[in-house]
Amino acid sequence: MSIPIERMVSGDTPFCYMVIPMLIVPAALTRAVIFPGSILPTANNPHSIAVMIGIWLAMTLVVGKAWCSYICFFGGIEEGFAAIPKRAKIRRLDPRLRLIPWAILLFVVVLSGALFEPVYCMWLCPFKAVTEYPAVHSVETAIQMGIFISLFAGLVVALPFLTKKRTQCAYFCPFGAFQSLFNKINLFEIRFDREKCVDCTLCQTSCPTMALSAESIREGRTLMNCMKCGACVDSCKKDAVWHLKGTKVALQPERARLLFLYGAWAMATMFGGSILANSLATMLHWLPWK
Amino acid sequence: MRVRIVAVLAYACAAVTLVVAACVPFVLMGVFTRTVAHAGLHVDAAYTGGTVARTLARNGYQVVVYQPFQPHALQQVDPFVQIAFKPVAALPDHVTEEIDLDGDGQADVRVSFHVPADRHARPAGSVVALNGKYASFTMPGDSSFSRLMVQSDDAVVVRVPLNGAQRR
Repeated sequence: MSIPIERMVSGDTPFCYMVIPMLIVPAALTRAVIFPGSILPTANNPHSIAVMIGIWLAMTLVVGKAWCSYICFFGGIEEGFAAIPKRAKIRRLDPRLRLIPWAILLFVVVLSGALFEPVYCMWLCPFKAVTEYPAVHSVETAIQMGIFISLFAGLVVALPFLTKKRTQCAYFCPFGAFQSLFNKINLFEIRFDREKCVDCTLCQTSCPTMALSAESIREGRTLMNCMKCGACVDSCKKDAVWHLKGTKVALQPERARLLFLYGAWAMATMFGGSILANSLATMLHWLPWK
Repeated sequence: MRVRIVAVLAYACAAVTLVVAACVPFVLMGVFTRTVAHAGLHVDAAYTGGTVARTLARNGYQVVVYQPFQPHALQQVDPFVQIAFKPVAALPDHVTEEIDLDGDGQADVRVSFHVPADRHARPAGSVVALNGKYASFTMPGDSSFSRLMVQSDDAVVVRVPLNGAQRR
């Protein structure tokens, strides 16, 4: 459903976390937030800008880029499509494609700062095809809708189905690239005990976002874009482990895993629960007999 | 010894993240929200209409005139002035007003519209510019952030585009 201009003018537009990287330059220059909505929560808009940025800050401190695997419901859509086929039809993907999200991040941050509008939301977000799509009433909005549908069909439906990977997350999402930066300061990570590793590459095959390379496995690490979903740990027959930065590899990995998972699940249920509750309330509001 | 101290510190910090996670819905979300709210951020005037210039009292309702919106260097929204008629419940069925937008004592535009009974419907009406600084338009017609006539919250919001020469 498209968001009518009335809702944008009145500040009732719910805030989307994907826009956060694009807010930085305009907010630094003028303190203006280039997204329709309200800074503080209102009766019509509990998901205000300050609330959503607050939630994002808290969750990013706790889980870092695990936001993408435990909290992002957009990623859940492509994970669903990736789970349908038994085997991947396309198995080899060029590792250089991992750089695309960084290029898109740079592009949308700079352009949003110059144009004072959330460029990604207006022109590139694949999920606009199934969420707040624009009403087509001009050539411009028809082009926008065409881009949204093409990106959704290609990156969220077809490619995950063919590759069994989260291709939109791995090869397109600028917010995911932005979250990768927080992996540098987050305490939790996944490591491989090189003394036990047999280089079977099962971990590499299982990773949904191509966050492992032969070189990184040799070094016993994941790449910066690891979203800590734990698929590699589950697939490993030897000793891929949860790890805390600064400690010896494979020191109390089960304790590290539990500390991470309890935090991540607390965050996921809190965020997902509030969205589910709001969605149910909206649906109940529209019941015909109400 | 150093390895052991680092390990103890790391696991202590990890345990703290668990406490943080548990505290988010009860305490920390509010703290973070208030911190962001006190950072002095504001929603861009292209969406909000900007700051209020003056409020004109009418018979039971108010006409709120905003400061002209001027876009940032490459921003794609054209300059406009926002006017809000509120509360909707106090408006007559048909409103016709000549309004001084720039505060020089002379009326700049004549705004007229029907107030729809359905609070989600868009008002039909027109804006007639009384001088060359502003642009005329009628609704229903093409709406944009700089040219619109809508019901929003408890107001009828009208945005009058400034003519090209009035750009900063």
